[in-house]
Amino acid sequence: MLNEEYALFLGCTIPIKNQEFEKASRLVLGELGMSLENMDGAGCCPNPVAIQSLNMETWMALAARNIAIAETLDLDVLTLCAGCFETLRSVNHMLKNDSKYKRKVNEILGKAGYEYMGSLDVHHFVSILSQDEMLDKIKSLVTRNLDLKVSSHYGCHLIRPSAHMNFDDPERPLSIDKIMKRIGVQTLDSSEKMTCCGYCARLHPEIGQALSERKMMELQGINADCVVAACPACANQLSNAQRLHNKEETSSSELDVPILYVTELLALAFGHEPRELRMKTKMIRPTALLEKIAEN
Amino acid sequence: MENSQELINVNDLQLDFRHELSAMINGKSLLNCIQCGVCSSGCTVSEWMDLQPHLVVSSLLLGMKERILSSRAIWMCSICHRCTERCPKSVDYSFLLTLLRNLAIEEGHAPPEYTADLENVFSAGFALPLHGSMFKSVNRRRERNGLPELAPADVESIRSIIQVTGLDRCMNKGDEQSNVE
Ligand code: SF4
Ligand code: SF4
Repeated sequence: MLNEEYALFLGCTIPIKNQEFEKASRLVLGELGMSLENMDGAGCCPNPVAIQSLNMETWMALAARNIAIAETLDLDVLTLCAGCFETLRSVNHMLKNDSKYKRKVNEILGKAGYEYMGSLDVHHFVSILSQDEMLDKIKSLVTRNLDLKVSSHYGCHLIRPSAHMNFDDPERPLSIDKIMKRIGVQTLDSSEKMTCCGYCARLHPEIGQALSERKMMELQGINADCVVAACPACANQLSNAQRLHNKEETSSSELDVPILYVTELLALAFGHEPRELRMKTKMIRPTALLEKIAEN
Repeated sequence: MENSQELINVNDLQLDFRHELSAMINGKSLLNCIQCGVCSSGCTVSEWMDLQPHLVVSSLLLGMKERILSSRAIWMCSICHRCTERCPKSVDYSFLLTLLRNLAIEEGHAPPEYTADLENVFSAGFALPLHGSMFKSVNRRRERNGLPELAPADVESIRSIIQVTGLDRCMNKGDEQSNVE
């Protein structure tokens, strides 16, 4: 049996920059019967690239502080972002399995007035929604037939390192595809399906641009109606790379594959209107996709 | 490093570096490497790397500390964790890279892109800038979108953690007054 109540960890990018993802997620998770408690006082997860690269101990202690807030609510943590998921799930896993580091982190937290106990688990909405019990619920709530072909973008940090994330296959994941299947959406396979968006190589932005551009060209070539993502950093990177490509005078083709969040597609399937979901504010406008939906 | 013919003077090596690294959290796996090259063959950014992952590992094992800590290779990785996932000897390469970045930063090589995130976290608790009236305008936007108010982070405790772990030394001291209201 899955829990019904979770401590909702928002992180930074979603509540500040990508509120449309939060909106769709709250709608959908609520309709699936999940209740979400706010985690007052929580901050950045912190960022698994920048802060972890600067100092492992700071990264672990800041993450443990966030988990400690959920512990006072006695609720498992639910994240909406793959980066937050990686940080909180990894740190939780490492501290639960290493009493020496747990002690060390608690010494740091003690001075800040917190204590990490290691009493709960950390989830991403994909790790919850892809379980059989939820998949059945999802199917029962579908009211709109979405005749779409999409490409699932898992995002590295949702599924790897599998020693910590451990809910789906690290190289051939199925969780997002399973969710899409239950709302009647067809998922496409391609050689670029598992390509990293490259955002996390952000000290060398040309790397992310090249990786994302190649990926989006292939997905446009196989006529994907959209990419479906579970991480705001990936979603923004894949959109922005297309915008930059289109601005380039030497580009011979225009890229226009919209990026939707998993929960945005679910909200559409559950009958919510594109307007309510602010679909037209996306950087890559889902014009053709919305026309397709309107025809159904 | 680009020139594989280059001679290495054994006096320049820090032969105990492998022990320094393997004593760090999760660092032990370094010693398992058999130089099979699987990490490099699947690396997301290998076409941009000046030094492929398996060569970074062999350089570490040899004790070429300074050359690795000042290399570009440790900053180009996209942290996709494919190397770690595929290594037949369970070398946690992506994690080792993070440890190397930590060491490089201790030597004063902190990238400004990362310290900017740290400064934001120190200032208001979030990685995105939220100084001055920005917090209020985020909440106004949230209200228009029908979302509940975003609660402020417990900044005092976050600052205490950053200071106790000594990371405040990486910050631009001039920015400290840009606190939340
Ligand atoms: S895959 Fe593992 S064992 Fe093989 S070279 Fe890389 S680190 Fe060494
Ligand atoms: S984590 Fe870094 S080094 Fe490892 S495969 Fe990915 S990009 Fe390459």
